Amino acid sequence: MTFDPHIVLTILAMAAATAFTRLSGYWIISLVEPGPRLRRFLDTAPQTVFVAMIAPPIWNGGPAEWTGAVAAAAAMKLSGNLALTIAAGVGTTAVIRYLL
Amino acid sequence: MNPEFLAGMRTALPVSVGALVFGLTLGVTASQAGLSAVEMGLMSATVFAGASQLVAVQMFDQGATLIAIATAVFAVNARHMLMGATLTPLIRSHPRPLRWLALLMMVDESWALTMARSRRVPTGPAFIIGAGCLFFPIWLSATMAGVWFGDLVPDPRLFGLDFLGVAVFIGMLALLQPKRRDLPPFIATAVLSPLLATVLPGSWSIIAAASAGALIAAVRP
Repeated sequence: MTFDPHIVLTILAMAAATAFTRLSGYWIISLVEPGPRLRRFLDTAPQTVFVAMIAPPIWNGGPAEWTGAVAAAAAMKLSGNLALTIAAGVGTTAVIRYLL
Repeated sequence: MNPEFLAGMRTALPVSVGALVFGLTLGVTASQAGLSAVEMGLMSATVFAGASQLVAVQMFDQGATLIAIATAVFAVNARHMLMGATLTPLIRSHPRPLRWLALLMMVDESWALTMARSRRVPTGPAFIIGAGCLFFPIWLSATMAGVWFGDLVPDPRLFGLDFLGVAVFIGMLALLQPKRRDLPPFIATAVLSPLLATVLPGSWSIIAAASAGALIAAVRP
Protein backbone atom coordinates (compact mmCIF):
# COMPACT_ATOMS: atom_id res chain seq x y z
CA MET A 1 0.00 0.00 0.00
CA THR A 2 1.86 3.04 -1.21
CA PHE A 3 0.63 6.58 -0.63
CA ASP A 4 2.33 9.33 -2.65
CA PRO A 5 1.47 12.83 -1.25
CA HIS A 6 1.81 14.41 -4.72
CA ILE A 7 -0.68 11.92 -6.19
CA VAL A 8 -3.08 12.40 -3.25
CA LEU A 9 -2.97 16.21 -3.61
CA THR A 10 -3.58 15.91 -7.36
CA ILE A 11 -6.55 13.62 -6.75
CA LEU A 12 -8.04 16.14 -4.30
CA ALA A 13 -7.63 18.91 -6.91
CA MET A 14 -9.37 16.66 -9.47
CA ALA A 15 -12.19 16.08 -6.96
CA ALA A 16 -12.65 19.83 -6.36
CA ALA A 17 -12.70 20.59 -10.10
CA THR A 18 -15.24 17.83 -10.73
CA ALA A 19 -17.53 18.86 -7.85
CA PHE A 20 -17.56 22.39 -9.27
CA THR A 21 -18.69 21.11 -12.71
CA ARG A 22 -21.46 19.06 -11.08
CA LEU A 23 -22.86 21.94 -9.00
CA SER A 24 -22.30 25.06 -11.13
CA GLY A 25 -24.68 24.28 -14.01
CA TYR A 26 -27.52 24.10 -11.50
CA TRP A 27 -26.48 27.37 -9.80
CA ILE A 28 -26.34 29.25 -13.11
CA ILE A 29 -29.70 27.97 -14.33
CA SER A 30 -31.35 28.62 -10.94
CA LEU A 31 -30.77 32.35 -11.43
CA VAL A 32 -32.79 32.56 -14.65
CA GLU A 33 -36.34 31.35 -15.32
CA PRO A 34 -36.14 29.33 -18.58
CA GLY A 35 -38.43 30.50 -21.41
CA PRO A 36 -39.64 28.26 -24.28
CA ARG A 37 -36.40 28.59 -26.27
CA LEU A 38 -34.11 27.84 -23.32
CA ARG A 39 -36.41 24.98 -22.39
CA ARG A 40 -36.07 23.51 -25.90
CA PHE A 41 -32.30 23.99 -25.70
CA LEU A 42 -32.16 22.10 -22.39
CA ASP A 43 -34.48 19.44 -23.81
CA THR A 44 -32.23 18.74 -26.80
CA ALA A 45 -28.86 19.25 -25.09
CA PRO A 46 -28.81 15.82 -23.36
CA GLN A 47 -29.17 14.12 -26.72
CA THR A 48 -26.63 16.27 -28.56
CA VAL A 49 -24.14 15.70 -25.71
CA PHE A 50 -24.30 11.98 -26.47
CA VAL A 51 -24.09 12.57 -30.24
CA ALA A 52 -21.02 14.74 -29.60
CA MET A 53 -19.39 11.97 -27.53
CA ILE A 54 -20.20 9.23 -30.06
CA ALA A 55 -19.16 11.08 -33.22
CA PRO A 56 -15.34 11.44 -32.82
CA PRO A 57 -14.48 7.75 -32.17
CA ILE A 58 -16.73 6.70 -35.07
CA TRP A 59 -15.33 9.43 -37.34
CA ASN A 60 -11.76 8.41 -36.48
CA GLY A 61 -12.54 4.69 -36.46
CA GLY A 62 -12.53 2.04 -39.18
CA PRO A 63 -14.84 -0.82 -40.29
CA ALA A 64 -14.62 -2.45 -36.84
CA GLU A 65 -15.88 0.66 -35.02
CA TRP A 66 -18.54 1.38 -37.67
CA THR A 67 -19.93 -2.16 -37.53
CA GLY A 68 -19.74 -2.09 -33.73
CA ALA A 69 -21.80 1.11 -33.65
CA VAL A 70 -24.43 -0.37 -35.99
CA ALA A 71 -24.54 -3.57 -33.89
CA ALA A 72 -24.98 -1.56 -30.68
CA ALA A 73 -27.76 0.55 -32.22
CA ALA A 74 -29.52 -2.56 -33.58
CA ALA A 75 -29.26 -4.36 -30.21
CA MET A 76 -30.72 -1.33 -28.43
CA LYS A 77 -33.56 -1.02 -30.96
CA LEU A 78 -34.43 -4.73 -30.70
CA SER A 79 -33.88 -5.43 -27.00
CA GLY A 80 -33.99 -2.04 -25.26
CA ASN A 81 -31.40 -3.52 -22.88
CA LEU A 82 -28.18 -1.60 -22.18
CA ALA A 83 -26.07 -4.57 -21.09
CA LEU A 84 -26.95 -6.37 -24.36
CA THR A 85 -26.19 -3.18 -26.29
CA ILE A 86 -22.74 -2.97 -24.67
CA ALA A 87 -22.07 -6.67 -25.38
CA ALA A 88 -23.12 -6.32 -29.04
CA GLY A 89 -21.09 -3.15 -29.63
CA VAL A 90 -17.92 -4.24 -27.84
CA GLY A 91 -18.14 -7.85 -29.05
CA THR A 92 -18.65 -6.94 -32.71
CA THR A 93 -15.80 -4.42 -32.63
CA ALA A 94 -13.44 -6.97 -31.04
CA VAL A 95 -14.37 -9.76 -33.51
CA ILE A 96 -13.92 -7.56 -36.59
CA ARG A 97 -10.60 -6.20 -35.31
CA TYR A 98 -9.50 -9.79 -34.81
CA LEU A 99 -10.60 -10.78 -38.32
CA LEU A 100 -9.01 -7.80 -40.08
CA MET B 1 -37.77 2.80 1.44
CA ASN B 2 -38.60 5.47 -1.15
CA PRO B 3 -39.97 3.66 -4.25
CA GLU B 4 -38.29 6.18 -6.56
CA PHE B 5 -34.91 5.46 -4.94
CA LEU B 6 -35.46 1.73 -5.52
CA ALA B 7 -36.59 2.35 -9.11
CA GLY B 8 -33.33 4.24 -9.68
CA MET B 9 -31.30 1.31 -8.39
CA ARG B 10 -33.30 -1.21 -10.42
CA THR B 11 -33.09 0.77 -13.66
CA ALA B 12 -29.33 1.25 -13.21
CA LEU B 13 -28.67 -2.47 -12.73
CA PRO B 14 -28.17 -3.46 -16.42
CA VAL B 15 -25.98 -0.38 -17.00
CA SER B 16 -23.83 -1.19 -13.97
CA VAL B 17 -22.44 -4.19 -15.89
CA GLY B 18 -20.86 -1.65 -18.24
CA ALA B 19 -19.55 0.39 -15.31
CA LEU B 20 -18.03 -2.77 -13.82
CA VAL B 21 -16.12 -3.59 -17.00
CA PHE B 22 -15.05 0.02 -17.52
CA GLY B 23 -13.90 0.27 -13.89
CA LEU B 24 -11.80 -2.90 -14.17
CA THR B 25 -10.19 -1.57 -17.37
CA LEU B 26 -9.43 1.76 -15.72
CA GLY B 27 -7.87 0.02 -12.71
CA VAL B 28 -5.64 -2.06 -14.96
CA THR B 29 -4.48 1.10 -16.76
CA ALA B 30 -3.84 2.79 -13.41
CA SER B 31 -1.69 -0.08 -12.17
CA GLN B 32 0.46 0.29 -15.28
CA ALA B 33 0.75 4.03 -14.51
CA GLY B 34 2.08 3.14 -11.04
CA LEU B 35 -0.98 4.06 -8.95
CA SER B 36 -1.74 1.97 -5.85
CA ALA B 37 -5.17 0.48 -5.16
CA VAL B 38 -5.63 2.92 -2.27
CA GLU B 39 -4.90 5.92 -4.50
CA MET B 40 -7.25 4.51 -7.13
CA GLY B 41 -9.95 4.07 -4.48
CA LEU B 42 -9.51 7.63 -3.23
CA MET B 43 -9.82 8.92 -6.81
CA SER B 44 -12.92 6.84 -7.60
CA ALA B 45 -14.61 7.89 -4.35
CA THR B 46 -13.92 11.63 -4.65
CA VAL B 47 -13.96 12.19 -8.44
CA PHE B 48 -16.45 9.45 -9.50
CA ALA B 49 -16.31 10.32 -13.22
CA GLY B 50 -14.88 7.58 -15.44
CA ALA B 51 -13.74 9.37 -18.58
CA SER B 52 -11.89 12.07 -16.62
CA GLN B 53 -10.25 9.46 -14.38
CA LEU B 54 -8.98 7.64 -17.47
CA VAL B 55 -7.49 10.89 -18.79
CA ALA B 56 -5.90 11.62 -15.38
CA VAL B 57 -4.38 8.14 -15.12
CA GLN B 58 -2.79 8.50 -18.56
CA MET B 59 -1.40 11.89 -17.52
CA PHE B 60 0.00 10.46 -14.26
CA ASP B 61 1.80 7.94 -16.46
CA GLN B 62 3.35 10.81 -18.48
CA GLY B 63 4.41 12.60 -15.27
CA ALA B 64 2.07 15.58 -15.73
CA THR B 65 1.79 18.30 -13.03
CA LEU B 66 -1.10 18.81 -10.59
CA ILE B 67 -2.33 21.90 -12.45
CA ALA B 68 -2.25 20.17 -15.84
CA ILE B 69 -4.15 17.12 -14.58
CA ALA B 70 -6.76 19.17 -12.66
CA THR B 71 -7.32 21.38 -15.72
CA ALA B 72 -7.74 18.38 -18.02
CA VAL B 73 -10.18 16.80 -15.56
CA PHE B 74 -12.15 20.04 -15.43
CA ALA B 75 -12.29 20.18 -19.23
CA VAL B 76 -13.39 16.55 -19.55
CA ASN B 77 -16.08 17.05 -16.89
CA ALA B 78 -17.28 20.46 -18.10
CA ARG B 79 -20.22 18.65 -19.72
CA HIS B 80 -21.56 18.15 -16.15
CA MET B 81 -22.49 21.85 -16.16
CA LEU B 82 -24.85 21.29 -19.08
CA MET B 83 -26.14 18.08 -17.51
CA GLY B 84 -26.70 19.79 -14.13
CA ALA B 85 -28.57 22.57 -15.89
CA THR B 86 -30.92 20.09 -17.60
CA LEU B 87 -31.52 18.39 -14.24
CA THR B 88 -32.64 21.67 -12.62
CA PRO B 89 -36.42 21.48 -13.30
CA LEU B 90 -36.47 17.95 -11.83
CA ILE B 91 -34.78 18.77 -8.52
CA ARG B 92 -35.56 22.47 -7.99
CA SER B 93 -38.51 22.04 -5.61
CA HIS B 94 -36.78 19.46 -3.39
CA PRO B 95 -34.81 20.02 -0.14
CA ARG B 96 -31.25 21.31 -0.50
CA PRO B 97 -29.46 18.17 0.82
CA LEU B 98 -31.26 16.05 -1.81
CA ARG B 99 -30.42 18.55 -4.57
CA TRP B 100 -26.74 18.55 -3.63
CA LEU B 101 -26.58 14.78 -3.30
CA ALA B 102 -28.29 14.32 -6.70
CA LEU B 103 -25.83 16.70 -8.39
CA LEU B 104 -22.70 15.37 -6.65
CA MET B 105 -23.61 11.75 -7.46
CA MET B 106 -24.60 12.54 -11.07
CA VAL B 107 -22.76 10.48 -13.69
CA ASP B 108 -23.45 10.18 -17.45
CA GLU B 109 -25.40 6.97 -17.03
CA SER B 110 -27.60 7.94 -14.07
CA TRP B 111 -28.28 11.33 -15.63
CA ALA B 112 -29.35 9.78 -18.96
CA LEU B 113 -31.61 7.26 -17.21
CA THR B 114 -33.12 10.11 -15.18
CA MET B 115 -33.77 12.32 -18.22
CA ALA B 116 -35.29 9.37 -20.10
CA ARG B 117 -37.59 8.49 -17.19
CA SER B 118 -38.66 12.10 -16.64
CA ARG B 119 -40.22 12.08 -20.11
CA ARG B 120 -42.61 9.33 -19.07
CA VAL B 121 -43.24 9.89 -15.35
CA PRO B 122 -42.52 12.69 -12.87
CA THR B 123 -38.98 12.08 -11.61
CA GLY B 124 -37.13 13.67 -8.69
CA PRO B 125 -33.69 13.53 -7.05
CA ALA B 126 -34.39 10.21 -5.28
CA PHE B 127 -34.21 8.36 -8.62
CA ILE B 128 -30.76 9.64 -9.63
CA ILE B 129 -29.49 9.18 -6.05
CA GLY B 130 -30.73 5.58 -6.13
CA ALA B 131 -28.91 4.94 -9.41
CA GLY B 132 -25.79 6.61 -7.96
CA CYS B 133 -25.94 4.45 -4.82
CA LEU B 134 -25.72 1.38 -7.06
CA PHE B 135 -22.96 2.76 -9.29
CA PHE B 136 -20.77 4.11 -6.47
CA PRO B 137 -19.81 0.86 -4.68
CA ILE B 138 -19.51 -0.97 -8.02
CA TRP B 139 -17.25 1.75 -9.45
CA LEU B 140 -15.14 1.91 -6.28
CA SER B 141 -14.59 -1.84 -6.01
CA ALA B 142 -14.15 -2.43 -9.76
CA THR B 143 -11.45 0.23 -10.16
CA MET B 144 -9.59 -0.98 -7.05
CA ALA B 145 -9.87 -4.63 -8.11
CA GLY B 146 -8.59 -3.57 -11.55
CA VAL B 147 -5.37 -2.28 -9.96
CA TRP B 148 -4.92 -5.54 -8.06
CA PHE B 149 -5.45 -7.66 -11.16
CA GLY B 150 -3.54 -5.14 -13.27
CA ASP B 151 -1.09 -7.47 -14.83
CA LEU B 152 -3.56 -10.19 -15.78
CA VAL B 153 -5.36 -8.28 -18.57
CA PRO B 154 -3.34 -7.73 -21.74
CA ASP B 155 -4.13 -5.00 -24.29
CA PRO B 156 -7.76 -3.81 -23.63
CA ARG B 157 -8.02 -2.69 -27.29
CA LEU B 158 -7.78 -6.31 -28.35
CA PHE B 159 -11.04 -7.03 -26.55
CA GLY B 160 -12.78 -3.96 -27.95
CA LEU B 161 -13.03 -2.49 -24.45
CA ASP B 162 -11.99 0.97 -25.66
CA PHE B 163 -15.29 0.93 -27.60
CA LEU B 164 -17.27 0.49 -24.37
CA GLY B 165 -18.04 4.20 -23.97
CA VAL B 166 -19.41 4.49 -27.51
CA ALA B 167 -21.70 1.48 -27.04
CA VAL B 168 -22.95 2.89 -23.71
CA PHE B 169 -23.65 6.31 -25.22
CA ILE B 170 -25.51 4.84 -28.23
CA GLY B 171 -27.78 3.01 -25.78
CA MET B 172 -28.27 6.16 -23.71
CA LEU B 173 -29.18 8.20 -26.77
CA ALA B 174 -31.82 5.64 -27.68
CA LEU B 175 -33.17 5.77 -24.10
CA LEU B 176 -33.88 9.48 -24.56
CA GLN B 177 -36.22 8.59 -27.46
CA PRO B 178 -35.09 11.15 -30.04
CA LYS B 179 -37.71 12.51 -32.46
CA ARG B 180 -37.44 12.99 -36.23
CA ARG B 181 -37.28 16.78 -35.80
CA ASP B 182 -34.08 16.31 -33.73
CA LEU B 183 -32.22 15.08 -36.83
CA PRO B 184 -30.83 18.49 -37.98
CA PRO B 185 -29.37 19.25 -34.51
CA PHE B 186 -27.87 15.75 -34.39
CA ILE B 187 -26.26 16.05 -37.83
CA ALA B 188 -24.78 19.46 -36.94
CA THR B 189 -23.37 18.08 -33.67
CA ALA B 190 -22.03 14.90 -35.30
CA VAL B 191 -20.12 16.93 -37.90
CA LEU B 192 -18.92 19.66 -35.51
CA SER B 193 -17.75 17.41 -32.65
CA PRO B 194 -14.87 15.62 -34.44
CA LEU B 195 -13.89 18.83 -36.26
CA LEU B 196 -13.74 20.90 -33.06
CA ALA B 197 -11.88 18.09 -31.26
CA THR B 198 -8.87 18.86 -33.45
CA VAL B 199 -8.68 22.46 -32.14
CA LEU B 200 -10.30 22.40 -28.67
CA PRO B 201 -8.81 20.49 -25.70
CA GLY B 202 -10.64 18.13 -23.32
CA SER B 203 -14.40 18.00 -23.60
CA TRP B 204 -14.72 21.64 -24.68
CA SER B 205 -15.34 20.35 -28.21
CA ILE B 206 -18.19 18.23 -26.81
CA ILE B 207 -19.69 21.24 -25.02
CA ALA B 208 -19.37 23.45 -28.11
CA ALA B 209 -20.75 20.88 -30.58
CA ALA B 210 -23.60 19.80 -28.27
CA SER B 211 -24.53 23.43 -27.56
CA ALA B 212 -24.51 24.27 -31.28
CA GLY B 213 -26.87 21.37 -31.99
CA ALA B 214 -29.19 22.28 -29.11
CA LEU B 215 -29.15 25.89 -30.29
CA ILE B 216 -30.52 24.77 -33.66
CA ALA B 217 -33.37 23.06 -31.78
CA ALA B 218 -33.91 26.19 -29.67
CA VAL B 219 -34.33 28.58 -32.63
CA ARG B 220 -36.60 26.10 -34.49
CA PRO B 221 -39.85 27.91 -35.44
